[in-house]
Amino acid sequence: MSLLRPLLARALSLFGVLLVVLFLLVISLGTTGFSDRMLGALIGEELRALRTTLAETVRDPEAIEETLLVRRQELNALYGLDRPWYVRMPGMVLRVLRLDLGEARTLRSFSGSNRVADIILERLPNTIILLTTALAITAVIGITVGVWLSTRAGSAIDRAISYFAAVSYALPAWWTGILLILIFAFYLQLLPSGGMYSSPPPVGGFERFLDLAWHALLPIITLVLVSVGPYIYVVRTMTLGVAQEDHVTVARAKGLPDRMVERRHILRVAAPPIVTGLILGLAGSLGGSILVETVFNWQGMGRLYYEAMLGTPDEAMIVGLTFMFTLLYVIARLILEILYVLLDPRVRYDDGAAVRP
Amino acid sequence: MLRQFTRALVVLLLAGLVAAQEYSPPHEQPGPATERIFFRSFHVDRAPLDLRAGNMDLYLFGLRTDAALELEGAPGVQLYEAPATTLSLVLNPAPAPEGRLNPFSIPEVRQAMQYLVNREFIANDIFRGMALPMVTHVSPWDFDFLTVYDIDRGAGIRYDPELARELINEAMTAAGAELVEGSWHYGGEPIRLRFIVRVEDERREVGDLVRAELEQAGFNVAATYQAFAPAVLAVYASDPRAFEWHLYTEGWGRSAPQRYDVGTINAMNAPWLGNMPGWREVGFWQYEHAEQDELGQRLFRGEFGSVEERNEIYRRMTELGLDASVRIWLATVVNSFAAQDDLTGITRDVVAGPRSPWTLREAFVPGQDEITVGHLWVWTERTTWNPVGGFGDVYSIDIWRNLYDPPLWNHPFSGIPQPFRASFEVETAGPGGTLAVPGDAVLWDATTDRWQLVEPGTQAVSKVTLDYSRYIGANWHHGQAITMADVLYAIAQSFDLAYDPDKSRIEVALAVTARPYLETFRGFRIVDESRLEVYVDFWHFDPPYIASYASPTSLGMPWEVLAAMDHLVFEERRGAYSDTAAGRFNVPWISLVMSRDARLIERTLRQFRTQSTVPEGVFEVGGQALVSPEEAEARYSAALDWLERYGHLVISNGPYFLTRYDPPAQFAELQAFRDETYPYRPGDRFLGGPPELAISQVEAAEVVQGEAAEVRVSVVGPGTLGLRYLLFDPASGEVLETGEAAPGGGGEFVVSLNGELTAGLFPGLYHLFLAAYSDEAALVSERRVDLDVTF
Repeated sequence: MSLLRPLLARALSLFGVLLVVLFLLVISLGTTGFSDRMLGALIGEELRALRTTLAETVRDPEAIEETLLVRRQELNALYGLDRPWYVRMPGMVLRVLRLDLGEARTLRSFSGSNRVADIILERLPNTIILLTTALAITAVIGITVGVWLSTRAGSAIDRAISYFAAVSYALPAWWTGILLILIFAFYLQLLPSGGMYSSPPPVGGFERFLDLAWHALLPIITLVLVSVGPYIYVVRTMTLGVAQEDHVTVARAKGLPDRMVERRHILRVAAPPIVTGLILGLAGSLGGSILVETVFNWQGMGRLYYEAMLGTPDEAMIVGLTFMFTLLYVIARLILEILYVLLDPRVRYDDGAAVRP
Repeated sequence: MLRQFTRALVVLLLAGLVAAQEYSPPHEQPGPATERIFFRSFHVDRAPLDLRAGNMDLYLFGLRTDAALELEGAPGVQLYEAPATTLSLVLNPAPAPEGRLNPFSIPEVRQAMQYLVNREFIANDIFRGMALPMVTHVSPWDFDFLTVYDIDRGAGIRYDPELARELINEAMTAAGAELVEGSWHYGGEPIRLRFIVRVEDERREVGDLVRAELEQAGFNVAATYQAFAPAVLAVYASDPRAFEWHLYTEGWGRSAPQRYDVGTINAMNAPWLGNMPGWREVGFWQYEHAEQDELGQRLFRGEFGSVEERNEIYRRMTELGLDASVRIWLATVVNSFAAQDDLTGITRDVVAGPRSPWTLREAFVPGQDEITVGHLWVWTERTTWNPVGGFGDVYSIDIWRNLYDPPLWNHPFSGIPQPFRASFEVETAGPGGTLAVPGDAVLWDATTDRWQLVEPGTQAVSKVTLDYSRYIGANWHHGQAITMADVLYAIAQSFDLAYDPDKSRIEVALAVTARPYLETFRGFRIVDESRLEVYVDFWHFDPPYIASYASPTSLGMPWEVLAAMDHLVFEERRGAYSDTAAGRFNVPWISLVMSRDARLIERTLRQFRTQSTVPEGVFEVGGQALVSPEEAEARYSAALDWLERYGHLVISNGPYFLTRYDPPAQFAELQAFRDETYPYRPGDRFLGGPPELAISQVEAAEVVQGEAAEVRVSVVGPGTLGLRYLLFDPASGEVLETGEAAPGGGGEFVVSLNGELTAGLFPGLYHLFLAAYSDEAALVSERRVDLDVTF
């Protein structure tokens, strides 16, 4: 049976997921009054600051009130508070569904643009170089070492790595980051303590990229350190579980070489759950990490999320980011659906449902 | 109280003495002391380590108390202290719905809170001596502390939880509440207080302390620990009657010294200014206080004939504030700014510390061409550099203030406006009279786009003659000479924004904000090529305040940049000055520091140059044209060359110019402006630390009942010194006597207590509070002396 139809069905259902997520977002922001109050608070703060500024030059209290009233109307219009949420927010959602993420109200990109797409596209590479790279390294180490360990279950090295996995899992990323900064940046003075570039930063091109990579080293080491242990252990356990299944025993009994048994009969079967974790992890990594980005003064997606939600609340940015990450999840799921079929020969689609013979 | 006061004062004085070292300029070239400044972002938690590692020379963001104390005495590091933050608890006084009770709607319960908070613990233990207790909105470091001295010290407010609980018991019982098993109930239900506690700093511990005291007093407290945004959402964006909060730990930044405060007292006490519960938000319940509003507005409008009358209003408002107790003042916190030991030339503002325009002009590290200044951020998602609409964040302002010279600025020690690059003379007929405005004075007419002669018979309260001779003839950063045309364009632009029907419709926010101020200007008269007379309806008993009010432009940008922006915003409609106009018309909110926005202006500048455009009308005054097409063309070319070279259009006149601005790298580079025409050289702006103002010695003999007694006090400090005293009975909580000590010359004062007064004293200890002041410093030095009265 063609893969296209079932995948199309999958795509449609995932698109439904996307719609539901956006619907729930609008409902949760709108019906609870959270969005209106959040924006109202922002306006209130600005007006309170403006009162103080006006007080320095304007001596007529009535004139101040009139000024504030006009400014309030302006700000209400700017933030869309002159329209109820059920008018304002669905429009926003319809626009993002047309792949137009629109304009942020308060946030701007490094270059000064207020287009949500520009802001996200500027931050995304920073996050990719940090979190996605770290995850990729973790995955490579995790899969290699995990598979290798599964053939040495119970050995001294297996036990040692099990202990390491427990420690690695328990380490908070922010704490590890600070520890590594103290050791590598301040004590050994081998790596920069934070930020994305040196001072003064290289002007452009490859030199600037190298400087960025140099600054990314310590945060990447941190992220790998706190995630690689559990990853190795998970891969090792999954592989070990498959290695003890009957079909592997049969393959070994047939006298097939170890490498072939490992590759064809163990890894291929163990691959889907490992790949699922990897792909979803990669997609999730694009969301950034507020803690690690804060510790290392890194301008990534995590900080952007924080700013959009709590720092300088921005409705359009929240909707844009939610759309983008849901879309990434949907795409990741679709890729996984294809990979399952390619990786595991036992997986077949029958009328849109995956079945194992 | 004396212990922590002494500790905090010693810290400040030592910091002052360190900063007040002799200053030896590193060279005699025009411009600033150092060649380059790098601004970099450092997270506040990591900043002490980065400083010790030599990654920066000065951290311009206040350190956390723990970090500051750790750095105290560390080799190679010096700390600059400034009382830059005040803390208060705001109570929600809204009445509860029928059948429920809000304890803080009862004034007596709010007053009891004054005794329930342990300010000394907050200052001594939570802030480890880096704070001073506060009773009123006036900090002990404010000059107006003297104005309310007897009210503050004589209020008898202290930590007395027993008394507080007694007062609460009385008031709550009278209101119909019952204490059931140690917990207050009303209508059979326990009374629950929602307490919003900020978590970013020591306010978390303050919140825990207050919570514990409230629970001891029988209240069921639900504390919510929140950061800025959710806390603001709960407190300032909700109707007080919705009771999403009952009390909240507020924090206030103090930015510059004020000799005569008008804004703070209104903001912290008078509801009309929108900073009391209800916040003047439409639809919310409002805390009202008619007398505070009336007095506050009188103070605001300058409706007083003398300093004494002003002080009386100020005192009454402070008394009413204490009586209402909607805000419970807790402490003034000393912020610490850390620097490398070898960084020289820091001028310390008495409130803002090194965060003032004075500091980086004179700062340098011997043998080094550059200094690195750390800050929390260099760029934020809100950053905008717009000379008309303003700046989007405080970090940008900290950079910008090194790039331009304002005409006037408040003195960092006295808080009084003073010449910075312009000088002034003031003539006034106020508060009752007026002066005739000369017939050749002009005002900008936004409808005809021309300077028009003022109406015959026009009168104004004051005249300020501003002398711009230190600007005129000197160069802007791009090499073009500053002329009176720059002054006139900036003034005309302000009037245009406010009164031009089309422009004011586009930039509504700017127009309505500027109008009430501009309406008080009666005329401008160009005296000569560098002097301008400004006629204005404004009076203050201290003339520099009139000059500050009447200064019509900050003169921060050359006219061609302003003209190009005006064209872009109002003719081409491809940009906006304000965020709201940008949103409304879906155009960029112009930020001159961003290459993208500067390129928008570039097109306009090129068009101007090609067409030899000279803005119409604005440079034609008194029958002569101030700018020729050739001069205009040279200006446009210079601005375009600047843009080509540096990628931005931040062109100004200060000691540094901006060479690089790199948002992703959180980096900005400033280069010294060594132009020969720049009028200042290293050393010209150095003021060091605030002058020492201290009570150095007190001689107090035993006081014998019924006999006259004298207390001799030595005060050291600058200018004309004074000493105020206050005799306080700690047993009764009453002020027995207050007055000015008699000066004996050379800083010596005598406090005389006559026999009649001492006859009324009982044997025991009395407190004699002493407050020394100077006309050259916007601060007060205080000491408490315990007098032993015997038979």
